[in-house]
Amino acid sequence: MRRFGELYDSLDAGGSDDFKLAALAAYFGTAAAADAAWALYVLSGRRMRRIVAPAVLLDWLREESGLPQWLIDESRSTVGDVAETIALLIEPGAIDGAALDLSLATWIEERIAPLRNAEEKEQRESVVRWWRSLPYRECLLVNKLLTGTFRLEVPGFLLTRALARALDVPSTEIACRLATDWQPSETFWENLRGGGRSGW
Amino acid sequence: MSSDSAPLVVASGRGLYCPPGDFYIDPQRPVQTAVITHAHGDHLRDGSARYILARPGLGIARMRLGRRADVTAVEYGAPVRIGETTVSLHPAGHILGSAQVRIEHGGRVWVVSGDYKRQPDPTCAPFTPLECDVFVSEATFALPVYRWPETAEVIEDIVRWWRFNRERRVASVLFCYALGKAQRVLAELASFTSEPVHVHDTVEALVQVYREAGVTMVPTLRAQSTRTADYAGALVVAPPSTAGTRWMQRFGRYSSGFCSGWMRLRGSRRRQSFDRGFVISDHADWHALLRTFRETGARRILLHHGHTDTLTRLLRERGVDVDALETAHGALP
Repeated sequence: MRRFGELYDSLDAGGSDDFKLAALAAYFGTAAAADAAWALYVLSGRRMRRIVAPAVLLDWLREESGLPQWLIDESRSTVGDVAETIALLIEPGAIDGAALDLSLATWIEERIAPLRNAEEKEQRESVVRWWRSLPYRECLLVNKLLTGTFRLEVPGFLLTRALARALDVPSTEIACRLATDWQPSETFWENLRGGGRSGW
Repeated sequence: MSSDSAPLVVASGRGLYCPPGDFYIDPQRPVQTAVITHAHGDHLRDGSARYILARPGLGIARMRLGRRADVTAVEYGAPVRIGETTVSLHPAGHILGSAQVRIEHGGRVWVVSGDYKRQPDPTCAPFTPLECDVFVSEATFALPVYRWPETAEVIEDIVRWWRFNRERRVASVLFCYALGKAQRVLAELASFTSEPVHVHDTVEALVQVYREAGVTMVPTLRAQSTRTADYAGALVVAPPSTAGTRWMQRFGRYSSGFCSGWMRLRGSRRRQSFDRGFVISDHADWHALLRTFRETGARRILLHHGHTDTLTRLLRERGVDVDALETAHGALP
């Protein structure tokens, strides 16, 4: 998650396309296949399924933080986003380096997605543990993935150019392949990288 | 109002005023006696007849006010008689020479914080909590969403960004306020590198003052060359006012970063046209404000400058006697 977080930092500012393109190409050129596939999925604006509603997360925050409701409301109004408000307000504990180093794919597939069918008590225990053991940036990202509100949509032309540069595949070819109804997986990524047709 | 309860500091049209001492703190217009908390442009203005400030800030003040200004530099903690009051200046940890103003009169002590922070800063003396009856505090970042990360983590992040740009043969231009923030970043970088950093002339002039005060920073080079090739892969520190100006053309393609507490929020990062926002502030964050109020033991807190409403409401709910300074006693003209 840390590597994806570093990429997120490079994309989540009002700077130049040149810098964002370089950051995307560096990430896609070196990330593991499953991570690259998931990163492409969320950055291209495809919807993640909601695991927990933002209002539920805010309830947990109020109970965990002991902050008055009006102060949470005021903070949220200033920040403008529930996932970020929580990441900023929660009292951090000791950072869990191993959790931080888990890959993006592992976080999504093995930690976040399985919570969808869990009881609320179990959901809350896991989520609060993550809040307290992750730094601000990764806490924000986990909250966005949990609530299905990851809306850092990178312009399609930037993604296409970055992929073309990282994978050494013509951008027209990349654009064509991304126009299909694909699901994030290692197979998808290997096909995109290798130019194969299986799995499409 | 009896003299026992008369305020030692009030808000006035010229800035904070101490009636029994007949002096102003960081006046916004020329006055007879100005006690200065620090040398940022919105706190130190020229034209006053007499200035009193902390000795470590003398070099910067001389640069800003010129040689002819009547400036008295006092050691931290040394008492000075001004009018009917005894005044002393104490480290505020904001920038080199920054000071809190302690005012004693009639057995009562008021402290005006000036701008301050509680994070370690290798360029200035650390903030000293002072016991007082009334603490007048800035409240620039008085919302709980403002919680500063460890400075070393942010500097590591800056170094990673610089190295990433270096691999692309692109300059990294880091925008920092020329006084204080720039020198703090240059000093913090010394733990990571001994490579020279290119700096704007305005930054370099103040770097020299800091060096003369004994502050260790990475080597600096004035960014005078207009050859783009000279900056390929280099780190440049420049004031935000140079962003988007012709001065930047010398760097050719470059990546930009901005160091500020305001970079804590995504919305602020996205509204600015910088590639990266780095959260480094010379002000107290929310948690440092609350901690400081406790440590002063003050029975009354007066807030000015910033999110005073939010902090006032929270402190009142906790039973603290608190007001915004502007409304506490009314403003004098």
